[in-house]
Amino acid sequence: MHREAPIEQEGSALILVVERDPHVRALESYFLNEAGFTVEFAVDGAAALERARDLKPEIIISEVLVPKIDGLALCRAVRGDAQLRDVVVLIFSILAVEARAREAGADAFLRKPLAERRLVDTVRELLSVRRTSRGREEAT
Amino acid sequence: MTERRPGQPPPDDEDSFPRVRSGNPQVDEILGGGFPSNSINIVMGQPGTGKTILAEQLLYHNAGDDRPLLYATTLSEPLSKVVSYVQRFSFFNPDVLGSDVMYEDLGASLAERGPVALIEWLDEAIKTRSPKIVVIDSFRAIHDLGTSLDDMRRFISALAGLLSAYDVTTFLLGEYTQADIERCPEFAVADAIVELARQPLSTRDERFMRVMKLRGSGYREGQHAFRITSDGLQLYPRLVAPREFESYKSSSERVSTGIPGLDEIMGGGLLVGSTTLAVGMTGAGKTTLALQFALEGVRRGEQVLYVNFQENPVQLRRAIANLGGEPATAFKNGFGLLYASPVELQIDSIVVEIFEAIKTGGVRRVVIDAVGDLSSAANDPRRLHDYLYSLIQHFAARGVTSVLTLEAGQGFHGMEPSDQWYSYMSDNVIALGWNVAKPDRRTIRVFKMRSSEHDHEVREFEIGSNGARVT
Repeated sequence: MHREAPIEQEGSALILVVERDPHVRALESYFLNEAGFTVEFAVDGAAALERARDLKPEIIISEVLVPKIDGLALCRAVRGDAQLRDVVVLIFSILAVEARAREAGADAFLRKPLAERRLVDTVRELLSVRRTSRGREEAT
Repeated sequence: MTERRPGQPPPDDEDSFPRVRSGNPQVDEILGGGFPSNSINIVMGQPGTGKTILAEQLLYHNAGDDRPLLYATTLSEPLSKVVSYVQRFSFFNPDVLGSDVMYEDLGASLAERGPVALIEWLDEAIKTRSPKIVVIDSFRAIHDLGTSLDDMRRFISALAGLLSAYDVTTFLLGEYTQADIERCPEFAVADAIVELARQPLSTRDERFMRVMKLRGSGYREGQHAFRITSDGLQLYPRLVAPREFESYKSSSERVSTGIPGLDEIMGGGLLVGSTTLAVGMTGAGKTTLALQFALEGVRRGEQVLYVNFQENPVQLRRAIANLGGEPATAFKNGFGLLYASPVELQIDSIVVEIFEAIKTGGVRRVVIDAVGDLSSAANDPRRLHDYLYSLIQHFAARGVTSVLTLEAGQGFHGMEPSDQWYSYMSDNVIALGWNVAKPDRRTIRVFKMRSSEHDHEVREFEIGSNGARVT
C-alpha cells in the first residue's frame, strides 16, 4: 500500500491519543509517527484533560469508552475550557455514535477498526482546515 | 454505519454490517451475505474437506484492491503444494499472484520461536503491508508446538487483540474436531465458525458445509451439501419452506390431468398448486399417468419440468411417442427434462435445480418420477423428508401443480410404512394397481384429495396406443 511521505509542516503537529487498548495504541502510534506526527498518550479522560492543558496538542483523538471521563464528556470539557476550546477533537470509537460525537462538539468521527489511510487522511484534513481558518482569523 | 437510538432494531444492511464475499454466491447466501468484515473466522474440517479451496477462492475473488491478501502456511501443508494445486482451479489468477495475493511460509519461524512468531509476523505485515485479508493455514497445527493451555490462551488473547484493532479480516483454517471447539481458546474469540465435513455414502462421499456461529448476523442453519469442482466449491443451500405464500389466482382453480375420465373422478381436475402422489406396482401406469399430465401442460402452452431418474432421455422420447406425442415438438414447446442417473444422484443438487427451475423458468407443472429414487440416494431419511416437504411448499406457494410417482408393492395402497410420509405430505393420493379378478386389467383409485370432493370407487385404468384413460 502506498503511504504518503510526511508533510514538513505537519511534522510539528502534536496529537494526544486517548486510548485504553494497547493494540490500538501501538498501531495508532506507529502509523501517526510514520505520517510525521508527534504522538502522546492518555489512558483515561481525566488524565487526557490534564495532559491536554499541559501539552496544548493540535488534535485530540479519543475513544468514547475510556475510564473516568468518557470520550464524549472529554470532548464537551475541551469545548468548555477556555484554553482548549480550539483544539481539534476526533472521536475514534468502536461505537457507532457519530451524531452524539458531533453533538458533543467533535470535529470528526471515525469508526474502528483502525485503517491507517482513513485515520491519517482525516487527521491531515482536520489540520488543514484548522490552519486555514486560523490563517483567516489572523488576517482579519 | 447507521447510528442506533434506544429501542431501535439493529440494522442489517451492508453499510451497517460490512461483509467479505466468498467468491461463491451460495456460500454468501447461507452466511446471510458473506463473512463479516474485520472479523476472526474459523474454517474447520478434517483434511481433504475443502478448507484451503474455500479460503483461496475467497482470496482471489477479493484481489484487486490496493491492499494485499496474505496466505500464510504454518506447520501442516507445505506452501509449494498449496500454490501448486490452486493453479488447477478456474478462479486462480496468475496476474494477482505475488502482488495482490501473497503466499508465505511461517513453518520455520514457528518451529524455531513458537506461536509468538505468528504475532510478530502479523504485526510486521500490518505495519508494512496493510493486509485486507489474512489466512492462516493451519492454525490448528500451532497447538502442536507443545504450548501449554495457559500459554495458548495468552497467545490467542494477544492475537485477537491485534487482529481486532486493525481493519483486517482473518481466516484461521484447521483440522479441528467437535471436541476442539470446547478445548481450543481460538473458538471463543471467533466471530464466525464454518465447518466442512465429508461423509461416506455407498461408493462416493457427500460433503457438507455448516455455519456453527456467526456473530451479529442471521445465517441459514443446517447442513448444506457441496461438491468440489474445477470452479471451486459448488454449494447447494439447504432448501427451506417458504416464509410467505404468494396467492395464486384461486384456491378452487383446477388444471386438467390430461387423462380422459380422471378429472371427472377428481372433482374436475387437480387444484392448482396441489401435489399428487401416484403410487403403484411396477407396470401399473405411474409413468404413463405422470407423462400424460406433463404433456397436457405442454398442449395448453404451459412450461413443464419432468424430473426423471428412471428412463434416460432416449427412453423418455420413446415413451412420449408411445403416448401419441411428438417428442421434438414437446421439447420445443415447453417440456423441460431434468434427468439424473440414480447412481450419481445427489438429492441436494436435484432439489436445488428443481427449485431454481420453478423460481426462474415459469414452470407450472412438475413431475418427479420417481421419488423413491431420492430415498435410495439420501443417507438421511429425515433430510429427504425435510427437502421434499420444503419443495412441495414452494410448489404450493408458487401455484405449481405437481405429480410424484412412487413404486409400491401389493396391498391396500402398497406403500411400505417407511414410505407413508409421502402420502401425508401430498394433497392427493392416487393408487394404481391390477385387478385381482382380471389380472390383465389395471385399476385406479383416488384415495385422498385434500380440499376437494372425489370419487372413491376403484375404476379401470386403460392404457392404449393413445395413452391412458379412466373408465
